[in-house]
Amino acid sequence: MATATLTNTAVKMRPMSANTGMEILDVDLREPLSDAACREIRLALNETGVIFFRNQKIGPEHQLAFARRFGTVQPVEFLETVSGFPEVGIIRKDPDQTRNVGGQWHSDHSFDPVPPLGSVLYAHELPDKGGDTMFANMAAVYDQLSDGLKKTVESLRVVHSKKNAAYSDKRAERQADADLMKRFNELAHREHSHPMVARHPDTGRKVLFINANYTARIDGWSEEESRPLLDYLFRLAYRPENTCRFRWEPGALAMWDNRTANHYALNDYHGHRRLMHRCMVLGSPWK
Amino acid sequence: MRNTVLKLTPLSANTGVEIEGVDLAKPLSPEAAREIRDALNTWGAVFFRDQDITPDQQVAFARHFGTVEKRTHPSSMSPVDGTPEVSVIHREPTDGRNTGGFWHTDQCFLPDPPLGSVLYAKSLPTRGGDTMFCHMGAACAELSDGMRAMLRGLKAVHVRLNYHGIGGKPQWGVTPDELEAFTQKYAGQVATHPVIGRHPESGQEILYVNPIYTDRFEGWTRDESQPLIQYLCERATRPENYCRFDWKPGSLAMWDNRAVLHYALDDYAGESRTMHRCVVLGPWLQPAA
Repeated sequence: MATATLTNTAVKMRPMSANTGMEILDVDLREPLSDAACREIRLALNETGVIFFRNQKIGPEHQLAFARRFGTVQPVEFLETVSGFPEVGIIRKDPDQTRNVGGQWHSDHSFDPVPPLGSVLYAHELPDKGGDTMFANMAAVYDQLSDGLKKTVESLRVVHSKKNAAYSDKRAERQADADLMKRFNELAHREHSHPMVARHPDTGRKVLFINANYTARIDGWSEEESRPLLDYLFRLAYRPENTCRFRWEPGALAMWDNRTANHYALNDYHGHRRLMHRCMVLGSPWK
Repeated sequence: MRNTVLKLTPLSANTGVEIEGVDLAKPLSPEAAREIRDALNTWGAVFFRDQDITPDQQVAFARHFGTVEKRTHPSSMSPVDGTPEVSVIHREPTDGRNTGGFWHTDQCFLPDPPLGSVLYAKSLPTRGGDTMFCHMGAACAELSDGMRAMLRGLKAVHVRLNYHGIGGKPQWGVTPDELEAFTQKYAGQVATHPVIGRHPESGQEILYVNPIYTDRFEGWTRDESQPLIQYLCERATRPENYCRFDWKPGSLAMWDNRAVLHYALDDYAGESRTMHRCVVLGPWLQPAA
C-alpha cells in the first residue's frame, strides 16, 4: 500500500515494512538533490513516516544541506553540538554509560506547541551489535481503528508533557546523571495540549498524535483515567506489524517525519560506544 | 430528606440504607411508602430486618415501586406456590455455582430491564452468602468532567451470552457443549444502552456498565472497548462505593436495578440457601443529555 501511490522516476526506493519506512537507494548526499528527487523523497517520507539512506560519506555541512531541503533547521536543545556546527547535536553513549537518548517510544519534542517537522540522524560510530532504532507509523495506526473509536478520539485532545519523561520509569537511571536531571527539572513545566487526531501540516492526513513517553493524559481526564485507552492504543500502535526496525551501520542516515512517526532507540549495547549526529527541522502548525 | 416515620441507618458512604420501624406484613402508610421510595432513590438499595411476610405481602410491598407481573421463571428458579409473581432462588449443598456471583445488573441485555427487585431471605447458610451493592451514580460523579463528557456521547452493547462464554471460549465452568446450546438460545439477547443514563426519578447521572455483560462501546470493537470498560468497572466497584449486606432469616432487600450493580457472594458451597425474589418493572434510564 505504501508504495502503490509512488511512481518514482528520479530515485529508486525499497519499502522497509508494510506501513513504515522506505529505503532510498543509490543517492549520494554529498551531491545536491534534484527537485524531482527531493519531491519523491518527500512523498515517501509523508507516506511511510521515515526514510533511510546507506553508505553515505557526509560531513555536518552535507547533513545540514539535506535537512534544509525540508525546512528551517532549529537550534539544538539538551545535547552537545558538533564544533563549528551549532545546529548539529551529538547523540552519544559511552562504554561506561547505561542511559541512552530516546530509549522509549516517543516523538521528538511533542510537548512543544509546534513539534518539529522531523529529525535527520547520521551514524558515525556504532556498537558491533545492537543500537537499532524502531519506527511506527501513527497515521497507519489511526486508519486501523474502528469507525466508532475514530469518532471518539477525534473529539479528544491530549496533553504532552516533558515532565512525563522525566518522571517515567527511567527516572532512577536518569537521576544517575545529575546534570541532565537538573535540565529536565528546569523544563519539567513544559507541556502542550494537541488534538489526539491531528491533521498533518503538509498532507492533511489524519495522525494519531500520541506517544508512550510524553503523552501524559487525555485533556480533561486524570492521568489514571487516561491510562486504559492510551495503553490500548500504544499496544496497537507498537505491534511489530506497524513498525520497522532499522539496523544502523556507519554512513547510514535516517530522516523521520516527527508528526507521523514514533521512534524508539534500543538501549541494548552497554559497554560500547555509539555516536550519532542529529539535526532537527522546524515544523509548522497542524492543519 | 426529613424522616418523620422511619429510622434510616446508612450502610456505607454512598450505597444502601437500613430502615427500621416498618412491619412489611401490614400495609404501608403513604408517608412511610414515600420515605422508603426517597431512600431508595438516594441510596440505591434499602434493607429491612426481622420481617415475617408471605409471598403476597412481598408482592404488595413491591407494588409501591412499580408494576409486578407473573413471570416466566429462569431455569434456576421456580415460582412460589400460589404467587406466580415470586420466584424461589434455592441452592442445594450439592449445587454448583450460585446465581449472580459477579458484579452485574439484572437483564441489562434486554432493551427494558426491570426497575428493581425485592429479595427476601427464607433460610440461609451458617455463614457466607452476603450480597454487595454498588451505587453507579456515585461512581459516575467521581469521574473527571472530561471523561464524563466523552462517555455521555457513547452507547454500550450488553450481551447475555457473555455470562457463558466470550469469543467461543466458555467461562464460569461452562462446557463447550453447553456453550453451543447457550449460543443458540441467547443469540438475540443483545441490547444497547447509553453509557451514562439519567435516573428517571432522582435525575442523577448513572454510569451504566458492568464487567461481564457490557461487551463493547457501540461502533468500537470489543478489543478496543474492554480496557476502558474494565477500568470503569474496577474503579466504580472500589470498596468506597459499595455496601455489603449480611443476610439473616427475615431480612429483605430492595434494590434499584437502574442505579446499582450487585454481586451475590458465592462463598457457601456445601450449604443451602433459599430466597424469594419479586421483580419490579418501571421506567428505565433516560438519555443523559
